Amino acid sequence: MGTKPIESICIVGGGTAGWMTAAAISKILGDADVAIHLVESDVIGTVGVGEATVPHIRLFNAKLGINEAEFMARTKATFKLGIEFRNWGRKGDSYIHPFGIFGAPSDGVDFHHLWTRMHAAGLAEPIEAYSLPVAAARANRFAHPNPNPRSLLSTYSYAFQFDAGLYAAFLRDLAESRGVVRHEGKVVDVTQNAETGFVTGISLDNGKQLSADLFIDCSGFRGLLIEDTLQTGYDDWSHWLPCDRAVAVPCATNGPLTPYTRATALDAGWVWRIPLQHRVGNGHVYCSDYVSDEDAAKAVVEQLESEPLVDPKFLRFKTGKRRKQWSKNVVSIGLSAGFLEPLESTSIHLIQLAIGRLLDFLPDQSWDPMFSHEFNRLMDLEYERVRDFLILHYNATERDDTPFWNYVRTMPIPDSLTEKMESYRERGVVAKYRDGMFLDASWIAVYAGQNVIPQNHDPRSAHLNDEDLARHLVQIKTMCDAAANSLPTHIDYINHIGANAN
Amino acid sequence: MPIDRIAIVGGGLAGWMTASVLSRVLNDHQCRVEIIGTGDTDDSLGPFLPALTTMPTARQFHAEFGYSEDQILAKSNGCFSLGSAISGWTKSGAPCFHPFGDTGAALGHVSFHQLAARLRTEDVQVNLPDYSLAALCAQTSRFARPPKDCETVLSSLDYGLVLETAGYTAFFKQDALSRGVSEVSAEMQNAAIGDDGLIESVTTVTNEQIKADLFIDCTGVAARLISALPENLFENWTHWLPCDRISNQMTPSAEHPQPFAHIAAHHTGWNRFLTTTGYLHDGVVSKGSELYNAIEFTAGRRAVFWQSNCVALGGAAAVLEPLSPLPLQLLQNAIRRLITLLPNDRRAVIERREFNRLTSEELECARDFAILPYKINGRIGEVFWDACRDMEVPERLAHRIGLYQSTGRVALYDGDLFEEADWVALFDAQGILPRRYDPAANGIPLLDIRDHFVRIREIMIRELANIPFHHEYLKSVTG
Repeated sequence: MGTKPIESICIVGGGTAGWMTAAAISKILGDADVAIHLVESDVIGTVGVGEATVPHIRLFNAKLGINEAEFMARTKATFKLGIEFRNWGRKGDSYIHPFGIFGAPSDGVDFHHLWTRMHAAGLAEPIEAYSLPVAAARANRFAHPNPNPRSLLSTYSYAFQFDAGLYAAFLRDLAESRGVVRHEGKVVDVTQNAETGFVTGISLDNGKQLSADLFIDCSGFRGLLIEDTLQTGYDDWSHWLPCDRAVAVPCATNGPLTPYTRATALDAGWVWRIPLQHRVGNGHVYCSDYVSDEDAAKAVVEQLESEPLVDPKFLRFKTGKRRKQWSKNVVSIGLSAGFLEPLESTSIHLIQLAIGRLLDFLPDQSWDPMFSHEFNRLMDLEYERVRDFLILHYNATERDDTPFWNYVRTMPIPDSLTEKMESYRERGVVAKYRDGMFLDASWIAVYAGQNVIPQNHDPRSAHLNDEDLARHLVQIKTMCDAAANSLPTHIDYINHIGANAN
Repeated sequence: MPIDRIAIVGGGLAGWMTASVLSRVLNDHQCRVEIIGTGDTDDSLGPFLPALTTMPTARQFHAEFGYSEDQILAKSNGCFSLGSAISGWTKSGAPCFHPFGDTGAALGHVSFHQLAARLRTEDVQVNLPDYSLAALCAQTSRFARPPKDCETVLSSLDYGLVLETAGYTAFFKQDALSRGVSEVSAEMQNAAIGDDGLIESVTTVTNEQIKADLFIDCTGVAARLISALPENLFENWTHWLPCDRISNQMTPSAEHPQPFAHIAAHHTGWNRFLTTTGYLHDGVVSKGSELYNAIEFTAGRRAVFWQSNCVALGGAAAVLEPLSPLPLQLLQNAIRRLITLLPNDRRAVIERREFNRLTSEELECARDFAILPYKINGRIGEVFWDACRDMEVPERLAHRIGLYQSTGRVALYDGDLFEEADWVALFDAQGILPRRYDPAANGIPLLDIRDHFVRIREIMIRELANIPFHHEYLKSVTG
C-alpha cells in the first residue's frame, strides 16, 4: 500500500450516533492498528427518546455479532412491522406502511395495478387488506419471518422499537470491550492546522487534550466541528418540511403491546407513539409558526393513553442537510449531518449508512479528495430521497382544516417529487432508482393510504375479468388473515424467545 | 382513448423480438400488433452481425416472457458463454479472462478483490480469474447450468449465450406470427404526421397505409420513422467511441463451439472471435482503416427515444459498440420498460417522460462502460491508442476511474447495467491497480487470507471434474 493509514480516530459526542460509530468501526477494523477515542459529557443530554427503526438495523447488529434476544432485553425493545398513519390523507383515515409487499402479481402485472382497477370498480378493500404484515400488526401478533421462501410467512421483514439511550449504552459496552477509549468532558477548544484548516486537536473542560488524524462529529444538531469550526454550511429544507420543534413525553402502556409505530397527524404537525417493553414513547413534532410550545405540549399530553411519566421535554431543529457531511478531516454522522423528522424512522438508518460509507472510504494520510467526494455524493442522494418521501406524506393530503395543512398541501415541492407523483397519479408508475432506501411497496403504501389513486391502470390488466380478479383478491386477503392469525401475540413471542427485559 | 393498434416499423431482430413480447403480453383482441418489414439486411441493433453474445441478464428476459432457452439455442445454432477472453489491451498484451458470475468470495466484511489487493502488496501474484469457476470452465471447455440453490460452488457460475442472429430472429418471428401479429412485407415509404404532431399512419412502397396509435421504430441505424419527427437530433459519440467501421467473416468449422468470446485489441480497434455450432465468426471494428467488406457506422444516440407517439428501440435509439453484448441488452431492457409503461392514450406524456429518463440514464451508464477499455488501454506508443488514453471522458466516468484508482471501489449510478464485480474485472484485467486497498483487510490475519484463497481454488478445481464438457451438455439440451 503506497499510502500511510490513519492511526487515530476521535469521535466527538456519545449518544446513538457516537456509540454506533465507535462500535462499528472498532469491530470492522478488527486488528488494524487504529486508536479510537470517544469524547462525551454526562452533562450534555442526548436527544435519544424511544426510537423506531427500519429493517436495515438488523444487518448492522448482525455485523457487530449482536444476539437479538440479548439486545432486545437490554434495550427493552419491541418488534416493529410498520407504521400506522392516522389522519394524514383525511381526518379519520388510517393506514399502515408495512415492511412488506402488497398482494401478488397476476400474469406479470404488478398487484397495485390490479388493485387500482378493482378499487375504481368498487370491488376492492383498502390495499392494506392484502398485506400479511399489516394483518399481523392490526392483530398485535408477531413471529420471525419463515426462512422457507415458499411460505407466505416469509414475505415480510421487521425492525425494532427500542430505548435509544439503552442502545447507546449497550453499544458502549461493545465498543469499550474492543478497545475504544471514552473521555469524559466538554469540548472547550478546537485547534486547526493553519495551512489546511484540518482539525488537529480538541481541548476538554477538564484540561485534557486530544489529537487525532480523523474526527467524527457526532455532537448533534450543533455540529461542533463540522459547523462551529469548519463552517461547512447547511441546506435549509424547512420550506418543504416546516416542522421545527418537538416535545417528547413518555407514558405507561395501556393496552396490548403493539408491533408497530404510530404517527397521528394533528393540527400543526404529528404525534409519534413508539411502544417499548416498559413504556410508550410519545412526542409531538410541530411547526412553531402555527402552534405555541404550550399548546403543542398540551396536544400531546391530551391524547396520551396514561399519565405522563415525566415532564415534557422540548427540542428544536431545522430540517435540512449539512452542505458537506465530510469536510477536510471531519465526518459528521447523525444530527450534525442533517435532520429529517422521524416520520419514517430514518434517523438510525442514516447513521448506519454514513458509518458504512465512512468504512468504505476510510481515509488514509494521503487525504485523497476522492474519499470525501464519493461519500458526500452518496449521502446527499440518500438524504434527498428520504426528504422527498417525507414531503409526500404532507403534500398528498386533502386536509384543509388548518393553516398548517393548507400550507403543506399547496406548497411548491421539489421537481424530483413532482415527477414521481405525476407518474403515479397518471398510471401507477413508481419511479425506480438504484439508491434510496424506500422501494416501490413503500411508495405504494403511502400513495394508496393517502388516497392518491392512479387515473389509469396498466393496460395489460385489461383482459383480466372482474370476477377472476375479485377471486384473486379475496384469496390473497383470506390467506393473509389466516397466516396472521396463526402467529402468537407480540408480547407472548417476546417472552417466548427470551427477549423480555424482566 | 385506448391504444388499439401498435405498428412496428422494421422487421429485424429488434422488430420481431418486440412484436413477440407484445403479442405475449397483450391479449390479441385488445390490441393489434402489426409489423412492417424493411429491406433484407437486419441492422436493427446496429450494423448487421451474423452472431451475437448476450449478458447473463438476457436469461431473465427470456424467462420473464416465457421463452425456452433450449429452443432458442437449438434454433440459432447457439451455445453457452462463460465470459470473454481478452488480449492485447495492456502493455504486455497478456491475455486475461472476464468471467460471468462470482470471482472468489468475501471474507468477513472484505470483498475478494480487496483481499487480493492486500496479498499483492505482500508480493503474492494473484490472477483474479483463477478464482472464478466460469474462467476455469472456459479454460477446460466445461459447462453446466448453475443450480438454483446457493449451497454449492456451482451456483457461483453465471452465463450468457452465443447466438446466430438469423436463427434468434426467426425464433421470435415464428412466435409473433403464431400469436396473431400481422406482417406487411414492404418497406416504409413515408409517415403522415397530424396537426397534433402525432403520427397518423405510415405508407409502404407498395402504397399500403397502416394506421396505428403507437409506432415503434425498429429500423436500426437509419431510424427512419423517429428521424422524420421534428428536431429529433442524433448525438455523435465518436469522440468517445472512436471505431467507425465494422466487418465480419463467417467460416464453416467442424470444431465444437467454445463457451466464451475472445476479444483481442489490434492497432486501431479490436476483434471479437466467436464460435457457434458449425461456424467461426471473426468480427472486427476499427477506426478508419481499410477492412474487407466494411460497413461504416457512427456511435451515438437519439436525443429523445420516445417522441410524440413513436418509440425508437435498438439501433434506432442508439448505436453502441456493435461487437459487444450491450446493444442487445439495452434493447431487451427497453422492451421491458416499454411494456411496464405501455400507455393508455396516444399522447402518453407521463410514460414518455419516464421512458426517456430511464433509457437515457441507462444508456449513459452503458456508454461509460464501453468507453472504459479505450480510456485505460496500455498500448503505449500507438497513435490510435495513445489518443484514446488522452481523450477527455464523460464526467461520471472520470469520477469512476478516479475513485477506483484511489480506493479500489466503484461508484455506481441509478442506470448501471453492471455491478461492482464487472467494473473491477475490467479495471483489473487492464492492469489498473488502486493506490490502496480496503483498510478493513488489515483486520484479517494475512495467513487467513492466504488460506482462504487456497481453499477457494481447491474447492473449484475439485468441482470442475464433476462438470460435463460444454459440447456434451449443449447436445443434451438442444437434442
